Parts: sequence; structure tokens; C-alpha cells
Amino acid sequence: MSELVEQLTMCIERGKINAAAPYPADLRGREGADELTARALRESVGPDAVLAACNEGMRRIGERFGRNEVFVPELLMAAKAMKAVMAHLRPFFQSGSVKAKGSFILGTVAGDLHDIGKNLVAMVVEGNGWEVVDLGVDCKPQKFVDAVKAHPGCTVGLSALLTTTMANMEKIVKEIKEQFPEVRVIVGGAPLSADAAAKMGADGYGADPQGAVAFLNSTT
Amino acid sequence: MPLRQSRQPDDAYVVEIGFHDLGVTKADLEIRLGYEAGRAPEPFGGMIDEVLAEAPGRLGIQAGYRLVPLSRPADKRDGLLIGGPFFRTGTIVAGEFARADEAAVFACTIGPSLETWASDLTGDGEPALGFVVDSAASEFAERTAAVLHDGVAAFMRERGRGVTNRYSPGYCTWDVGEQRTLFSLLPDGFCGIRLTESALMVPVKSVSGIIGTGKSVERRDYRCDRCGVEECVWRAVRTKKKSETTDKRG
Repeated sequence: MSELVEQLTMCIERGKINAAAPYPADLRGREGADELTARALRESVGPDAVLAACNEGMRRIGERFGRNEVFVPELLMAAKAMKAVMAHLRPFFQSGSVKAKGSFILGTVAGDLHDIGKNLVAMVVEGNGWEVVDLGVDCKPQKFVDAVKAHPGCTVGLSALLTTTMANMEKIVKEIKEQFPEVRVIVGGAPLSADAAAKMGADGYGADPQGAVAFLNSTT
Repeated sequence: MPLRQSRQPDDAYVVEIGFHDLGVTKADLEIRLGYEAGRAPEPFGGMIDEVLAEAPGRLGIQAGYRLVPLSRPADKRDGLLIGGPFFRTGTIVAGEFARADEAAVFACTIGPSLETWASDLTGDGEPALGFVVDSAASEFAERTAAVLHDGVAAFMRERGRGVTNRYSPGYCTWDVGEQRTLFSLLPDGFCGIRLTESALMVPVKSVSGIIGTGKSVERRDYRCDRCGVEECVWRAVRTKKKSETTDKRG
């Protein structure tokens, strides 16, 4: 049983989606996350244990990403393998027998149309067991405020690529904090730093998707 | 081969740039994604091949510029008069144009097709290929601006004039909000680019800005060490690119 769980972890880390997937080359023809999850659930490995195995795989790939051993494409393949697992787990989430760690509201701030970084964070955070509410790009403060109202207890993530939209990011952080002081806000994007995040009143700064996951997990 | 340009009304020029003018190689895209040249693992190397094969049919490159008078007012050293309006570019950008008496206000785009493709792939459960397409599109757009810049330099050389480096709203302390005023200097719908309410360009993979020209103007590298905007994304990108290129090409 533990070997099955370890295989699943490895498939997530390596981005091995299913048996038909040609990636990674050295695992060609072998079962992937899809088949292993189905088998695990058939063999009475609980959905919580499956989810934990996957989270471990995502943690490992995230750490390798942080060490520049792998790059965004590998991270996205891992997220895709995770998605295959989530398709099996969805009924358990819907029935309430497995619970998401929490809600994460994510959007690119007003004035900025870039979404690749945000999407990447969304996939990795979701793969780590969080419900992600993706507000899209060019999001004005009210859109975040409405989403926070609709998801009590959520955490908010703001993304920006442009230096010049950081002012909008600061306004959104302040707006959220004024109305919902208890809501934790993390910011990220190319022009940001931990200092800039602190100055604008954010609770955290994510240098990469794994940074966002670490911040989120620290709040649970 | 020199680029061809055609003159439009009001000193505007449309420059013909094709996919092969960009000179983007597989190694360029591998490095952009983080790998060493020639070392992207499969399936990502194959994805790059696919994008490079598809790109010529999908790119809708449009590029051009308009020549307008430029000066730096003695009583406003933090900006430039470009074609009439005053632009608060900040002293660093304004200083780089000190010897220029004319600006090529430029815009270029690779069109919307690649960003749509990237978005569709991501939505269809192919995020890695979508990311490769998006990264390649950024490279194509940046290279288009560089090729246009070289073209403007060549056209100016024929007139005995030099060019500065190119700067865009958003560089240094130049407010991106002035993009709208900059576009007011270009013909309506120039290169098929429109601005959003927050002055961002659509298609997203577009570049706009100014290049100074003048008889005693020289092109100098960007001088990020003089700028106080520590969180500047351009500085981060340039520093990263420089070190990666050095590391990965040796």
C-alpha cells in the first residue's frame, strides 16, 4: 500500500499524468497519477491519504523549482498530473468527506492584463489542496471585496507584472484590509519583493508558487 | 537584408518585418524557459519545435513609427516635449535624449493569434504547451521591437543621424499612464493596437515607445544602475537575462 502511495507521489512530482502520457520519457508506458489514484481508491487507500501523497509530490517539485533544478514547464506538468487526481477526488470533496484546506481568492490587479504567473500559482495552489477562486486579470478593488464577502475565511492573492500597477495593488490591499482586517493577503509578481509587500500592508510575499503554498499552509 | 518601409501621411512609416527577420532560434526559447541552450528535456524541446513551426503562420507582425520634433525644456528637466505634448519621463530618460532633436514614436505587435493560442491551450488542459507558446510570443514581441529599432537606426544612418536606445512608458519612472498621450501622436489604430481603460496595449504582445534621433546622438546601453526604481521589472529581466545568457552560453 505504501508503495502505491509513494508511486503516486513520484508521478505527481515527475508530472506523469497517465499510462498514455509520453512524459517523462523514462516512465513511458507505466501507470500514471490517473491509474494509480483509481487503483488506490479501489484498494481502500482513503481519499485523504491520496491527497496527502499528491501534496507531497507537489511539495517536492515546488522545492526543486525553488532550487532552479526544474522550470515552469515541469511545474505545469506536475499540476496537470494533480488535476487528473483531482478528477477522482472531486466526489469526495462534493460529499464533504474530503475538505479543501481553505479558499484562495486570486487575481491580477487592475491595470494589468498578465495572467501566466497568476495561472501558475492557481494550478500549484489547487494542487496543494486549496480551493482557488480565480478572478482573472485587470481586477478592480470591488471585485476582490465582493469575492471576500462570498468566501468567508478566505485568503487573498494579488498578482502584478508591471511596476506601474503596483500602486493599484497597494490600493487593493488597503481596501481589503480596511473592510476585512482579519483576511490575510499575499502579493507576488516580477516587480515585487518582501519589502515592497510589507510596505503596502500585505501579510506575505510569494517569490514563486511554492512561496504562496508555504504562506497558505502556514495559515491553516 | 535591409528592412523595407513605406511612408504614410504625417511623417509616419510602416516597416515590413517578417518572422525570419526576428532570428529567434530554439536555443533562444530554451534559455527563455530556463534551460541551457540545446538542453530542454522532452517534451518541452518538442513543444518549442512545434511553436517555431507554427509561428510563421500565426504571427501578425505590424510595426511602424512616426517622426516628431523632440526637445528638453530648460525649465522642466524631468521630461521631454515630444511632438507637442510634455511627457514626464523622469530625468534619467530625459537625459538620455539630451542630444536628440527628433523622436521616432514607435509601436509594434505580433498580433493576437499567439496569445489566443496560449490561452486556448491552457484552458484545454495543456498548460505547459500554453506556457511555451506564451513565452515564445513574448520573445517574438521583444525581438520585433529590437528589429524595428535596428531598422529605424539604419534609416536614420542614411540621413546622417544616430539613434538613442528605446524607452517606453513604464521604464524608469515614466508613468505608463502617458501611453495614451504617446498613442495620440500616432495615426488612429496604428499597427492594429488599441489601449485599454488603464492604458495597456491590446494585443498584449505589443511594444511602444520612443527612440531619439539626432546628428550627434549615440546609442548607449540601458543604465539601470542610475535608476532608483529598485522594483523595476525591466531591470530584473535584463539582469536575469544577462546572467543567464552568460551562464548558459558560456
